[in-house]
Amino acid sequence: MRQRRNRHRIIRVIKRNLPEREKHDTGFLNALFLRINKERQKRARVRFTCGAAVFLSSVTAFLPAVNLLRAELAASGFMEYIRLPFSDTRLIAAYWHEFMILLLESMPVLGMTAFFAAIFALIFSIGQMAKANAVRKVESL
Amino acid sequence: MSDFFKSKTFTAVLFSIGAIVLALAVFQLGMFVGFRKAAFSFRWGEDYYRTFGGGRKPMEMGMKRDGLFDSHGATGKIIKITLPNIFVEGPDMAEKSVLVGDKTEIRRFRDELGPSDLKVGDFVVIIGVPNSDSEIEARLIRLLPPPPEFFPDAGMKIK
Repeated sequence: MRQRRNRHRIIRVIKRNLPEREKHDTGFLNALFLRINKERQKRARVRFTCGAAVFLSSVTAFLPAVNLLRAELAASGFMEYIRLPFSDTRLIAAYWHEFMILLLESMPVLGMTAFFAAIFALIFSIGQMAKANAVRKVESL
Repeated sequence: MSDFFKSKTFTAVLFSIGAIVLALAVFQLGMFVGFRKAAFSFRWGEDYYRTFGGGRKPMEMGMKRDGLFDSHGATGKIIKITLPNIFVEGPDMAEKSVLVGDKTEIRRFRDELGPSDLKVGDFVVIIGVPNSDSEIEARLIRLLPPPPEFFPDAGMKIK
């Protein structure tokens, strides 16, 4: 419904700024708004297509990213270190500086980057496709 | 003047400067951690023969993917005990020398143990501080049951 409000606002602004003769020319206004509508539909189609391509790529890349993260977590010992505060809270608090450096050293940065990049691309592409779909639905009403 | 501070240009400039500051801080943190890892790994390589004697050369071992070792801790299986040193082999196939001192606390579940309670084959998680002899001076040694898929990607299994 925000799309429809925006469209009405655009129509008001256009009408306000048109020369006097064109304001009362119904044929001209209809042609103008049809052309605007056509352009918005075209942009929504392009956005949807690009979103779909990114979605497919991110879905394809998701599983390798998860495997990479798993392998790096297993090789680094990060998960063993992260559990220590739950079993030895007092000692970890006493040696928090060493513990923080150890976590930073063992963090599987590459695996986490790949994993979160895939998640981000997935969510972003779904959002783009949803927005494009909403524009197409509103304009077709 | 007040309009400028409310404008999008000002907001964009502010966010850009904030992003640069954040990127520089993250970069500096990376350099800080990387330097410590590199320094420890370099000393470890230099001291390898002194610590382990003859046999495998450092380059023949399965090194970590980035070629550097964690300097403030270790996790893995105890492969040798010569108190006050114990030697721990991690999932990255690197053998680290850990110094058990007076300040070291050794725990299994809720029990406090002594250095003599450690056995070859125990799975340990260690936090400590590196010294100039490429050893880790342990502050905490926690004994744990080995994880079900220990060494899954290195092809080793604990018996």
